[in-house]
Amino acid sequence: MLLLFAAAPALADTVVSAKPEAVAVVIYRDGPARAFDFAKRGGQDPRGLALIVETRTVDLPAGRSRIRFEGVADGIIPQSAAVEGLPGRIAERNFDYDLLSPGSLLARSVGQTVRLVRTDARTGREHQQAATLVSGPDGVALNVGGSIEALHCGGETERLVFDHAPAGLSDRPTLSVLADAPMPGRFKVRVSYLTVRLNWAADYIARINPDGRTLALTGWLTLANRGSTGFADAPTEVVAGHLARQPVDLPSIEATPVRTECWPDETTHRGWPIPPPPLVLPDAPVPPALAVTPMVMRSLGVTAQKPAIQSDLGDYKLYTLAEPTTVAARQTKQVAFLAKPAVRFETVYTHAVSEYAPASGPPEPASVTLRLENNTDHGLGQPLPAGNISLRLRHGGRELFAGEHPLARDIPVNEPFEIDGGAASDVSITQRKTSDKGQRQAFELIAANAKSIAVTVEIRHQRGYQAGFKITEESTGHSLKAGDPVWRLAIPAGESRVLDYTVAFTQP
Amino acid sequence: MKTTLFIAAMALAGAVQAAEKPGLSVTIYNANLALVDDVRRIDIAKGRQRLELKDVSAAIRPETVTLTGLGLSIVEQNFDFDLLTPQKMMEKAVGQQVQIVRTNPGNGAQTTETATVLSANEGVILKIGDRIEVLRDDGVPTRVIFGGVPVNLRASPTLSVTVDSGHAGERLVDLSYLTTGLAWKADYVALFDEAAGKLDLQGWITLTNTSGTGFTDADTQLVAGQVAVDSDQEAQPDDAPPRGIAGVRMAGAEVNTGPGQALGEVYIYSLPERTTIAQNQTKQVSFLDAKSVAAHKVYQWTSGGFESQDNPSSASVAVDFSSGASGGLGSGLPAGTIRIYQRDTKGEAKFVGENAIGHTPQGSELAVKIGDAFDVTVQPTLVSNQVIGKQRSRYAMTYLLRNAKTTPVTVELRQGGLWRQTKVIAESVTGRVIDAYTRGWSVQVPAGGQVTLSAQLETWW
Repeated sequence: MLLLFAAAPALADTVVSAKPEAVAVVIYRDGPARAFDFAKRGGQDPRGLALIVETRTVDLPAGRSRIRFEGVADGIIPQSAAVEGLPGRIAERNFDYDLLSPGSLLARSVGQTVRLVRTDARTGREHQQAATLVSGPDGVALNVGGSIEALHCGGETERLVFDHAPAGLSDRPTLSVLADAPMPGRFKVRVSYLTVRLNWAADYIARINPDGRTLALTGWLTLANRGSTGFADAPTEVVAGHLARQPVDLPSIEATPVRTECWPDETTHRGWPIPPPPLVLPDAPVPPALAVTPMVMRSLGVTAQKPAIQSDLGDYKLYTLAEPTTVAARQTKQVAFLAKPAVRFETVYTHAVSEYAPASGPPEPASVTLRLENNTDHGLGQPLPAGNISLRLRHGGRELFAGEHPLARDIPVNEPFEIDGGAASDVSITQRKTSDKGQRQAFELIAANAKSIAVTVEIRHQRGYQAGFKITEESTGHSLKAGDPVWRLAIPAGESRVLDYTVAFTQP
Repeated sequence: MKTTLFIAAMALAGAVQAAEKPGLSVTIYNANLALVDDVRRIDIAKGRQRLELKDVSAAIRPETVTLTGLGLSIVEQNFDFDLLTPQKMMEKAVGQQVQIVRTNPGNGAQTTETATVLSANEGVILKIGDRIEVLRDDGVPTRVIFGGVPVNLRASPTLSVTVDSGHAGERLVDLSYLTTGLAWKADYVALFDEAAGKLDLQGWITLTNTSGTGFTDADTQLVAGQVAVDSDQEAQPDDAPPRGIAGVRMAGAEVNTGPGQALGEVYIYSLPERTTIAQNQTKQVSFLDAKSVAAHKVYQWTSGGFESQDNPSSASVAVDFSSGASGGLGSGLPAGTIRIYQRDTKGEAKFVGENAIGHTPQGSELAVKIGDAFDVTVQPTLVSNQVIGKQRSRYAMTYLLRNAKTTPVTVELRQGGLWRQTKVIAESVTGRVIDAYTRGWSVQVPAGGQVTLSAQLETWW
């Protein structure tokens, strides 16, 4: 018989804090999140990030205690946890994810005495025997009075009865600390940690006003909790901006499985069924993408009353919800953060010329580009977190959806930005290369405006990395945009204009 | 077998120190590897016998096991991981006798017979007396009772060692082995006070145990730094000097608790108290708590080539500090993740980014990138490029720097992509050489304003 003599463990009372009294939530954006995607992803997706700050009260005896903080979020990144407000030193903190399950109950009871209870199927009488567990969840074998038997292999009604649950197994992953208190007392503790599976997205609705020169811009924060932990009445904030991140290193929380295999059990009449011949089925029609969107376990709360308040956090933007809110498990929630009724914009019809396009081609629709300046003069002047813009038009008294476009980057105050408005229906460009002398090429563009109003067309020549690039001839003057020459043409209603230019370069 | 040599040396060093009293000590390396040194008091008879050592790691590397004890010589050691299951028991019972207990479904009467197991392929064939039957052919509940557990079948992986003992008696036996499933890294929490130019840095050692076994009341040491691991199991020349061995050997005698001690090529951290590392547990122990370390924020924006961008892009934000003593830290930092927090306008500490740091000796300069600035952007434009000779070009660049913050900022702008014999033709702000292929400018941008930097550079391509 071998014995392991170890130093007696330091005696520590266990103090349980079942749930927080108050919780605050700060949600970060992980990746180019779109509110539309939140409904689609599964619950084990490790994306998303939030800082959870819990307030708890614990009653500590003097000396060393193990304090168990139950009810932390299921997506906790345990190594990010911090516990403040305890009177003494924290000797260590632990995150236990050995869960109580039939498998772990068996595994921890190997070598121990249990009760084997057999029920007589005919009389219903129970028969109890003491037995020692000689193997665990890979298939239970028992030592019953010196002979070895397997559990559930003989076809009898059998069960095991354990006298107590093994120590150290919890019903859910639990954060605990080992802390010293110089004197007993009641302490208010701040427990903070990062967790995954919370995310947010910014969504904008831009309604073009009847004047055609301003739009009403509203911004919504969509908060999504895809975890199974809800946060009730929580002061809630979101952080806009790009944070450096490391790959999330979550412990894999799995219960110990039980294998139910006995010895081989074929008989003269009972074996494996003969497999049916494979059916040859025609390819099933692929359902449209929208039809597969799961619509279960999801609620959509819309809180429209008070917009979120914006402030700075380091080099990021912090949006504080005006009131504490409940971010329930598997819930998506929307809060307004921006409402600007008259944002001035310019509509420009754009076309990009590439040297490598065919020498001539059919008329192509110009692209509609909305140009905005993010300043108060233009009716805006608010930080705009990256997101999605849904464009709306009013036509004949009803609202029309005019496309959805990404706002691909965060737009700080005082920066110009553009919204892609799709292809124009009434403004077309016909492009022709009229001469190619190798390092000297001439182009002709015809811009036609079939609309009932005058429009501005911008032709941009994409110069690429050509060395010694210059414009040698042009029918009208150009300006530069990101290093490329740009010509602006004002075209009255129902008319067209021609642009001729020649480019030269020394090396492609 | 470089590793084995190296570990054997360590185990000897440990044994000399630890053999005075029983106990468990664990030395954990970064690379998912740990040395377990388990001193047990065992009563051993004189002569040859088999010792069964339970409670060893389920992820043990059996080829690294050494067992030492007074008057003991090892004959053979085995690691049995054939797990005890009902199926294995039946397979091992083939050719042997078992008891069959049939329960009559009509009256509940039990009849016991002795049977010989003939085979256990897909079904169990029994010889009972002179008749042959298939077990439970009629579906009637039938229990099988085995005489004992077959040798070599275990409920958990078990190490068994056959030893020859020169004398009888209780003695201390030192078992040491390498195991996987134990790992550690460092996690740091830095609270950065931008206005004061300070940060408070806390360091935590994070241990994880997925070895399948808990380690109770273990004296725990952590080794930071590269340790040669013979992971592909190929034979190594025995005379190759193992890296780091001198440091580790010394460590056993010299390391105290507290901050890490630098020894040779590795750092050793000892946990101040014995600790229990439970299975499926993440454990954290504080090892560093430094206040008011001098730190400052740096905005940086880098272009790797000469090109225009349609849209502005954000400058990155980094926190710079030193691990040297003059800045207030004065400690090497083992590799891990550093999480930076800053206070918001209401004074609440909030997470603002995280990054990885490598093993960092004391006195190193660190620049931890925490994210991108929402309000500080740069938009580069390639105004012109001219070929001015064989494989040589002149590039004219402008950089539009914008700052929407309410405070002025300085952006460290970097233009990479240079090649040989770079010449600066003109620059609107005096720059400096960062390295042979990179030029840098420190550009001040006023609050709520914008600045254009222009530069003309000639270089090879």
